[in-house]
Amino acid sequence: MTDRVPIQRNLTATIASDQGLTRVDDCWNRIGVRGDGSCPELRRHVHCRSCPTYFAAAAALLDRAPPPGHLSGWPSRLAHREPVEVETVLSIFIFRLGAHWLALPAAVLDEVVDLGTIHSLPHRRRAGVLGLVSVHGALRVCVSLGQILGLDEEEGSEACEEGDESQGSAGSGKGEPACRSRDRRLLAIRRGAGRVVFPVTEVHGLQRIEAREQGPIPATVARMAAAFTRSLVTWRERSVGLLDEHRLFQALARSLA
Amino acid sequence: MLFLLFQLGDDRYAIDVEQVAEVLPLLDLKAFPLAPRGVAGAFDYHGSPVPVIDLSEVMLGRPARRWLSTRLILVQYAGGRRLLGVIAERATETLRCERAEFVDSGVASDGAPSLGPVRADARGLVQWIEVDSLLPEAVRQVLFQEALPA
Repeated sequence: MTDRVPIQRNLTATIASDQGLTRVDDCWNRIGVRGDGSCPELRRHVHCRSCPTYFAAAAALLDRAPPPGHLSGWPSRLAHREPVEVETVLSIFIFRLGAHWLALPAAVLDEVVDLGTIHSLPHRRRAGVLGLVSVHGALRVCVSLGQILGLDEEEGSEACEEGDESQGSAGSGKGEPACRSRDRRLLAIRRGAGRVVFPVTEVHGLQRIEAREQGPIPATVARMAAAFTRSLVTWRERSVGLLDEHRLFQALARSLA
Repeated sequence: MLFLLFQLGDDRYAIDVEQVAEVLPLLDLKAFPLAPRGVAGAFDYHGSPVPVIDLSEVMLGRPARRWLSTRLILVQYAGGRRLLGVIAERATETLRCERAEFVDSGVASDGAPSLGPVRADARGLVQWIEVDSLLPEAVRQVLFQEALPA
């Protein structure tokens, strides 16, 4: 957390009127690095280019009417240019965490491995980090997705023991107990250089969905989980929360920092 | 996290860039004279019309100044399924910081967007604003529950 910074008074060095005319005080030429160096802020920022006053002066230069002809060509350019993202079909990986069905884009999935021993890290107790796991001989950080998303991972396991059929699982049409502890797996995900594993209650597998099958997240979803959810997908009459891998990896980076 | 900053009057706001599709210059828009105050018009974006609101007109009752620093921010509205253009003044700066640097101000006000999490810097407070809370109900009704005239 940053220390409280006093408001710099000389930031009102630029004046803009409604005509967009800006009178800029070029203090950097007068008392700054290009002047006599007498500015008190120089001690804090070392060079004028790191000073917010300099930055504000540059930004204020844009507070003026655009030159004539500046905007011509833009409308036709925008109408014809290819859209940035054309994703009509998404490949997602569906899994269950406690009572919650979730999904991640297939691109971040590295592999699914059997649950092994999680070696807890003795002197580091970070929120969400369970410890280290060996995956094919390499040590990977194991986190609790439930803790990161604010979801209860144990929810649903009570239902397992009672044989609650409403939970359902792949291929359980015969009235068997809905899940078994041997359904638990470790999911290894990867984005760039970041690799992480986390235990899940049950794994379904890959599913291809149309991008337009995604629905909005209802207000009933817990706020923390909603922040990580990109959209809701309906699959086998269930609502599956498609997670936003960018936010997930941001949160993981914070936990592991 | 990365934020796009803009100004409404003298107040500074930040929106999550994940909600921003693109930042465009102030285009000429096709105006809708019968639309409520603040709906600046629409423009053609890759073949689809996108409605545009002038945030200064909606919130402060005066149109945004047509400066180079006034930009048209294309935001993902309603869970990302719709695009909305927002004309905002001084939309020229980004901010990269930790999410936790925005703290709850503990104040809510009626009418204006609730005073959400704020972050203090050398120039004062920046308020983190969610795109979905940018529009007053009346404007939202017109934009997305009725088709705009062709």
